[in-house]
Amino acid sequence: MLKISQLTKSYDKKNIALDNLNLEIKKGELIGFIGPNGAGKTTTLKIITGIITSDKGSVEIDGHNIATDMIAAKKSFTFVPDHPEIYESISGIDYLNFIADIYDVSIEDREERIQSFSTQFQIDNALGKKINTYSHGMKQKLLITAALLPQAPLFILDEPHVGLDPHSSRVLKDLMLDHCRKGGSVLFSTHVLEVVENLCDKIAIIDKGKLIAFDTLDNISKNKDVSLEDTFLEMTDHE
Amino acid sequence: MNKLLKLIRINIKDTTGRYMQQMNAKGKISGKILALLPLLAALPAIALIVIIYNSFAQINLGYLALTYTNIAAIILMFVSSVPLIVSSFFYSKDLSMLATLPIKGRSIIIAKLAGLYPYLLIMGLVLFGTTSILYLNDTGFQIRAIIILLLAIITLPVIPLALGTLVTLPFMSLVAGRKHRNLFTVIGNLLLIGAILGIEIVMSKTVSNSEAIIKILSQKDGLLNLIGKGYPPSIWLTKGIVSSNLDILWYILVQISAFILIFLLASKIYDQALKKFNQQESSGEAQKISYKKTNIKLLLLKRNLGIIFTNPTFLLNTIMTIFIPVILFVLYSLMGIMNLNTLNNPAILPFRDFIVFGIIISPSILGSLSATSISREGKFFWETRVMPIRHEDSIASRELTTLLLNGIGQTILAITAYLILPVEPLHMLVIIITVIFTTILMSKVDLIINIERPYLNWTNPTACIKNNMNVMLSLGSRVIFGGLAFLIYYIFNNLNATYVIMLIGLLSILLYSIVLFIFKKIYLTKYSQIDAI
Ligand SMILES: Nc1ncnc2c1ncn2[C@@H]1O[C@H](COP(=O)(O)OP(=O)(O)O)[C@@H](O)[C@H]1O
Ligand SMILES: [Mg+2]
Repeated sequence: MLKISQLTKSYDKKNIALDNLNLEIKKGELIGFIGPNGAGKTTTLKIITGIITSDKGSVEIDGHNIATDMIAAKKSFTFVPDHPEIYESISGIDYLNFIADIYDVSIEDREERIQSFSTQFQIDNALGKKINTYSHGMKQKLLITAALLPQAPLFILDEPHVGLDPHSSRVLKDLMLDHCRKGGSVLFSTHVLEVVENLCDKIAIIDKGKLIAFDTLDNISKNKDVSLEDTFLEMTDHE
Repeated sequence: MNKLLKLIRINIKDTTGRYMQQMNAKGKISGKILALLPLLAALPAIALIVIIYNSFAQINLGYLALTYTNIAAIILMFVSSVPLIVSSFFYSKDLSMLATLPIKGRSIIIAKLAGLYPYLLIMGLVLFGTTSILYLNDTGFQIRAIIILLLAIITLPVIPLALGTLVTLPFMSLVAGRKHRNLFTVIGNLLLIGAILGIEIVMSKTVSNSEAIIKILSQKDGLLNLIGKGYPPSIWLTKGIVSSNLDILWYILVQISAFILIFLLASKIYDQALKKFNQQESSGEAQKISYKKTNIKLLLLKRNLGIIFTNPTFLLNTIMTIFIPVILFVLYSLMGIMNLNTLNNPAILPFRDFIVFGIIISPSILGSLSATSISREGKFFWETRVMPIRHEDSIASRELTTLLLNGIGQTILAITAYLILPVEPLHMLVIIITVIFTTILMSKVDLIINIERPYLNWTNPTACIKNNMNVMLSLGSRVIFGGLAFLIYYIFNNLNATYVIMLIGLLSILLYSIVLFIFKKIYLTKYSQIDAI
């Protein structure tokens, strides 16, 4: 579903933000992408989604290269960024219709999905209002609804749980699981370990731009007495 | 007080820092050379001032140029201060952060004004500073004059800022909390600028009455009083520099009062206008929910237009650059400056086609809408990046936006020009076709400029539009095109005007093919490599 190889990126000449990153995600997998602040999670996701370009390496989504086969690749995923900055002077429903048009969602499908997701996230009453009257969490839920709307095979989210209330956080987890059950894949970043622990098939740990682990939770904490937290802290220890 | 100074410092640091960051966006030497470009824009103004000064100096009244440019500087600063104040006070994103800090509202206002000060100071320097140097050079650099002029230049923005604040804020507090406050803001600003231009025109008309001039010239300080009539402090300043200590006192008193006025009003302004204005729109009216399909190209066009139309700063700027020729044209014809007699004068008949062509083409020459089309999106740019839209479509929709807006302005101008200055239909056709090709060329050139220098990380919409070197580069491209067009006119000056315009049209087509080739070769890829934030 997603294959990234030898991804390298530096914003300036001195610091390397991503260093030769390789990752492969299969159909139906739910992957948690964890790492300390500034590890390079957002950078990776931005390169995968075509927001920024990498210096080296390639990204393939559902068999389509993001650089050479851009449209097909972009039709294969949707993205929720860590900051809910979207064009705000339109109403929520205008935005959702816009996204549905871009991804060719039929009228029936969009009606059914928008109603379902917006009710679950409890933003159905706000859809007619301008986005700039939304709270941070509402904007985020609108973005998640928009990203779920096309039902693209790969669902990518950057720190989605930040700013969500417990109810919505739970809804999101269920929707992610549901998406994988239907054969889709999910890649989301977080720095909150609890979210990953009882949700993901596999965990990718990134530190200082390097992928230091990519495996199932069980394999990562081989020693059963040690918690993920301890393992994580040990692996990313810079002393 | 200490906190206020800190706030001012961080404000100015932020402004200059962002400017420098933008200048060196691509690092390298080219960035530093680009930083000098605004100076080039000042050159024609400086040349004009030298001419004005010399014509006054010829009749031994060099000091009158001081009065003249002092007023010009004040008016320019005042007109510019209005959109600057609106944008940095009401539509800048740092406000919510500042509002949470334990600082007095007054300090926020003063710090914001201080952030605008350097912009205005530069305008003052170009206009009044040049005259000051010329005057000092003529009068032998007397210490007294040097000190007064230096103080005058440094404090020049105080009065325009005070006036700008006084005019803008009551209006903003009036529209605050209203449903269509953005619309009101734009209309109000347009009316204000229109009114200022109108006053200018009326004032300059009274001067052109020759009988009155003779009468005025016979009085002591008659000409000085006439020129400075609209703004007495300029008279006091001029007299003060030449000799009178009393007048200098008056001038200083006015400056101080303006300063005190700002200070006294500041906290009121904060409570009455700023805080009120930044409450979210209260209208809870929700739109009906419907599910409907729209064509993707149309969607993108709508989005691009929406980004302009829902941001008052962008809207005002677009209207001003694209419709300023329309506004001036209509205003001038209304005020009788450009009446039918002057335009239908047999002496200018051979140039009529050129005049009509110049009028219709002006929106795409003066405006540089495409040069900020990517920058305008700012933090929203990632949206178009993630969606499965071809880069070609995304770019085409931006061009289409520019062409649409230009087209509206040009259609209005074409109709008005045709009514006032009828040219033969066939000539009109040639003119219109040339205008279309030139406009398409300009919009492509602007887009290349913006792809080369996108500026996405802005917090203040004015910074995106005005502070953007792209606009300068875009104007530069117009100068080059104008030069080439003039070359054609010069070489073929025995040809009929229509043929010359046709050749200019061919020039546009030729240049467009070259630009298109370069675009496809280089800039399509470069566009795809712009890093969104
Ligand atoms: N726009 C940028 N310019 C320069 N450096 C950046 C930029 N964005 C991120 N970085 C740097 O890249 C590194 C990785 O950042 P990021 O991917 O945002 O981390 P994470 O999302 O894991 O917290 C950090 O060292 C950060 O300072
Ligand atoms: Mg991040």
